[in-house]
Amino acid sequence: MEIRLSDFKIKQIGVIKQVLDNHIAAKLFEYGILPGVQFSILNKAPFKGPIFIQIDNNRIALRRSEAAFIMVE
Amino acid sequence: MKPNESLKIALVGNPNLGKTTLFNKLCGLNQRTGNYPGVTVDKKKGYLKADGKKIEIVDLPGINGLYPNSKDEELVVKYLLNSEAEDYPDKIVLIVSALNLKRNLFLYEQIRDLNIPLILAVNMVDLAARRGIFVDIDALRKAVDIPIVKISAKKGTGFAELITLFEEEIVVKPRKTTYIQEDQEAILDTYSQLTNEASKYKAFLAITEPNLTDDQAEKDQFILENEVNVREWKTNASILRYKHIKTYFDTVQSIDKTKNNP
Repeated sequence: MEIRLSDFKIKQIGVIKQVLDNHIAAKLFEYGILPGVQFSILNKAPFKGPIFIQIDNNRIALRRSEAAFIMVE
Repeated sequence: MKPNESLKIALVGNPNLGKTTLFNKLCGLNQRTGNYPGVTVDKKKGYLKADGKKIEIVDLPGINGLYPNSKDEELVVKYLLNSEAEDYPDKIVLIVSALNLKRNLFLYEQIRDLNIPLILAVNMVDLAARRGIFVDIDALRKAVDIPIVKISAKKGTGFAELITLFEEEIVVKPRKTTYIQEDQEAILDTYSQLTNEASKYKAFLAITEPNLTDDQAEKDQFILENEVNVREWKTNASILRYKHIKTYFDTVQSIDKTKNNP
């Protein structure tokens, strides 16, 4: 099944499977959002607001539209 | 550097890790700092006196990588790439934070390939240790081939060593590429010869980032002729760089899980 990062719930932990080809992919990679990396969801802001994730010691906030490009498991 | 001019040192690094704090301490100035990214938005100059010589320090906004995403990032990237410019630095101090080392080393890997004389200053080592993140400076020194200093921008430790390095000659030689797949390297070689670009990575950036150079028409022609997938090059470069960092990263950093980090 195809699960996107934006489908995950708060406190869930997962691994990034793939980042879909898109205009911000290079930017996401720069921030360390790469296939095979473990992450956890710290918080999701209400009303389709940003998603806060943690990778290693990095906290990153993503727009829902950006998080939809990230396939996870 | 022209003979009568002072040495120029530029401070580069990711956002929010103490570049301006270091700048203020070095130059005795009081530029605005804050514990959130994006405080510095413009180039700022300051002067430092060491052994009677004047050294010019340039403070820059933080960048995440050499692909600019905003105006202030663009300013830094253009400044770093334009080696002909009059205010081009003689040396770069790349500041990395022990708290966020992997991501900071990604920027190091990119800037390293520009072959500019480079010093790595590792900040916040003590703070990271308190949070259970241990960075082995000696292991890091083995992993990178440039001078490293451990500093604390806030407390002001490690400055003497850093300032001696300002005046030392640092040679950064071109190294093996880590950011392009082997079968595509020949295309890059052709382009760097074509444009007379000594740094292969600069040629790479010129191909993959449209706004950095002016000869867009020729570039498009080249990209078309050689069937370069620019987006693929760009994303692969990041993946390959992180892979390269992984080969040495475990020797550099260890984490104590019992301490609540970050």
